[in-house]
Amino acid sequence: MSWKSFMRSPAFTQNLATTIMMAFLGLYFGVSFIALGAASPHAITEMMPDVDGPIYFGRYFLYFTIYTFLTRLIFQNFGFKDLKQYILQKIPKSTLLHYILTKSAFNWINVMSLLGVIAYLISASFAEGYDMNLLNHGLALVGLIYASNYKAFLFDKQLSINKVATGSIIIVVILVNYLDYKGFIPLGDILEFIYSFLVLNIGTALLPLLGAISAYFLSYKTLSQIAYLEDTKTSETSISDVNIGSGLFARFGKAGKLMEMEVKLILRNKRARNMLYIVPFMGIYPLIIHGQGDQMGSMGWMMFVAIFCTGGYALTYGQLLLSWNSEHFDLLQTKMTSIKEIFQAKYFLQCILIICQTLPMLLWGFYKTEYFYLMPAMMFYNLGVVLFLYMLSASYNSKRVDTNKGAAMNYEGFSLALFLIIIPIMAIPVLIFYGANAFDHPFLGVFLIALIGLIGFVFHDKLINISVALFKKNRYKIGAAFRNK
Amino acid sequence: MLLEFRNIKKMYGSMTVLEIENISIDKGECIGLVGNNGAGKTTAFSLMLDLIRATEGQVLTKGHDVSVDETWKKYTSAFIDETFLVDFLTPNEYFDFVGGLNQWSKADTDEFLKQFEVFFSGEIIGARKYIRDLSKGNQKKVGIIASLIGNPEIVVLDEPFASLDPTSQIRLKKIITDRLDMHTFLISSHDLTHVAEVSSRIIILEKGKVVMDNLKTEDTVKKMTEYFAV
Repeated sequence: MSWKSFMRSPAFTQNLATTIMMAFLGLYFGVSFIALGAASPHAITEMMPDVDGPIYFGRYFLYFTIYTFLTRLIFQNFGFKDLKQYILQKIPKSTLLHYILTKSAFNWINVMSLLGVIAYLISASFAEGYDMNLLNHGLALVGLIYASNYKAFLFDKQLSINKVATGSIIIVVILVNYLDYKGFIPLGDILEFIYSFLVLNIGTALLPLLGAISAYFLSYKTLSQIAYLEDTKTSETSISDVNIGSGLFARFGKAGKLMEMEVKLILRNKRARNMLYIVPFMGIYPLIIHGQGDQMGSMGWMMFVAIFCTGGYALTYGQLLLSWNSEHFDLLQTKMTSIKEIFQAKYFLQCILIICQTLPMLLWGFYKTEYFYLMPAMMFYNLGVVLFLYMLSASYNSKRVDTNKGAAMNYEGFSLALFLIIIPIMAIPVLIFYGANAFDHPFLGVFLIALIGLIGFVFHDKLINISVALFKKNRYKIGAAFRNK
Repeated sequence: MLLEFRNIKKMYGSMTVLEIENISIDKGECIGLVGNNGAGKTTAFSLMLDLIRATEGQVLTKGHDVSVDETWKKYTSAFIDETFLVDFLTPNEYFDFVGGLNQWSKADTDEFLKQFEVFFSGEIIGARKYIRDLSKGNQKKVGIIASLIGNPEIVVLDEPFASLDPTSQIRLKKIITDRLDMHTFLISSHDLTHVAEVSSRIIILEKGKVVMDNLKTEDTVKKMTEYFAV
C-alpha cells in the first residue's frame, strides 16, 4: 500500500531524490555505527589498558541507551496512521497491534544500534586480551536496545498516558546527567556497576530481554484497551479561542491575520511544535563546539554556530515555507487579495522569530567576546539572505505536508530543491569569509556577510516581489501537489 | 457582465475534461451547475478560481482574466472542499480569520454570524473543538457560512447540500434564497430538486460539455429528471 502511494504520487521523481538521499544517510550512519562497534574493543584495550574493556564499553553503552531512550520518548511515533487505515479491514485487532509493535523493532535507532552491537561482538571475539562471555554480553546489549524501545512505547505521547511522567523523566535524566558532568553523582560508576551485574551470568544477562518482552506485552495490553478510532484523534482536551498577540500582528493588516494563524499552526500541529523543542538545543551549540578544543574555536566555525543560533527556528520552519499551509492552500490562494501578502506574512513572522532568538544568544558574548558581533552579523545574514533563498526554493518545493505527524525522521515535504538550497546558504559565508581571511582580514569577511544581509533586509520588498513572481509561474503545479494526499 | 467563460478548454494529457464555448453570467443570477460525476463541475469552478491552469481560453470576471489580474479575489468567495478550511482553528477563530482577510473586525464578524445561529444548531459557535474534530456536516456548514463573510459579489459553492442533514439542507436553501439580492451564486449539486429550487438558471454539464443552459421554468425539475434518467 505505502509502496503504491509512493509510486503513484505525482511528485514521484522528487520522492525518489529524497529517498536516495535518505538511503545515503542511512548508509552513512550504518557504516559509522558498524565502524564504531568494530573499532571499540581494539581502541579500548589500546587506550585504556588498565580498565576491564567489556565493562567499560557497557558503561558507555548504557549512557547511549539513556540518550536514545530520551530520543524515543520525544520523537517515537506510534504507527497510528497504519491503524487508522486497517482498523476497518477484516484483520483482527490483535494482529494489527502486533504488527505495529513488531514494526517498531526495525526502526532507525534499533537497526543502527543492532549493527553497531553485532560489529562490536564480532570484533571483540577476535580481539586479543579482550575477554568476555560473548553470549552474556550479546544478550545484555541486544536486550537493552529492545527494553528501551518497548518501554518508550508505554510513554507514547499520542496515547497521552503519563504526559507528566514523560516530562518528569526527561527532566530528571537531564538533571542527573548534568550533576554527573559536574562530578556530583558518579553516574558512570553506577552504570558500570549495573552493567557488570547484567553480564554476571546467563540469568542476569537475560534480564533486559525479559524487560523488553514484558514491556511489549504491557504496551500490547494498554493499546488493546484503547485502540478505538476515537483514540487516534490527536485533539487536545482543553481548547479555547485564542487571540495571540493580535495587537502586535494587527499592525501588519491582512498579513498580520495570516501571521496570527501561522503562530497557531506552529503551536497546534505536532510537527511544527516538535521543532520548537529542538530550537533550545541549537542555542547550546557554542558550548558543544568550544568543548571540543581549540581548532573548533576558530572564527569560521563560530560563524556557522551563530547562523544556527540566531536562525534555528526560522531555518527549520522556513524550509517548508508554503508546504505548512498545504492543507488549506486553496483558501489562501483565493482569499488573500494577493499572493504577495502570503509571502509578506511568512517573511515578517520569520523576522520576528529570528530577532527573538538572537537576543538571548547575545549572552554568549560573555563566554566568547566574538559572539557579541557574530550573532547580530549572522542575524542579518539570516534576515536578508537565507530567508530569501528559502522563499525562492519554496516555488520548487511543492510537496504536501501532514502537519500532525512528528518531526523526527520525517522527511515529508522535503525535496531535492531543499537539499540544493543548503549549498548556497553555507557556501556564501564560507567563500566571503575565507576570501577575506586569506588577506588576513577575517573581520572584513564577517562585516561583508552582515552587510549583504542588511542590504537584503532593507530591500526585502523587492526580494519578496521576485519570490512572488517565481511562485506565480509555478502556482498551478504547487497547488496540484498540495492537493495530492 | 460579471463572469464569462470564454472558449475555455481543460485537458489532462490528451483527455479533454472541460470544453465550454461560452457561458456569460450576469449580476444577481443564481446558477445551478448540474451533472454526473466527472462532468467537469469542480474543474469549471477551479478554473474560475485560478486554482488550475486553463489549456485554452479564459475566465473573465468584470472583463479581467482571472489568471492575470488578482482583483477578482476581492469580490469572490468560494467553498469547494476541506482545503478551504483551516483545520487547526476553532470555528470562531476561523470565521475571525476570514473576516480579518476581508477587513472586518471581530465584532463585525460576530454580528454577521448571529443570523446563522439556527443553521449552526448550537454546535459551531463557541464550540471548544478544532475544525478537524467537527463532523463532516458541521465542517461543511462552517465552510459555507465563511464563504459569505465580507459580502462577496460572487459566491461559489461546490456540492453545498451533500453531507448536510435534511433539516440543514432546507435551512441552507432559505439562507441562499434570502441572500439572492446580495450575491451572485454558482452552486453545483447532484440534488436536482434542491438546486432547481434555489437557482434562477440551470446549466447541465456532461463529459465536460454544456448540454443544457436554461432559465428555470415550472417544469425544470421534470426536464432534468428526464435527462438524467438513462
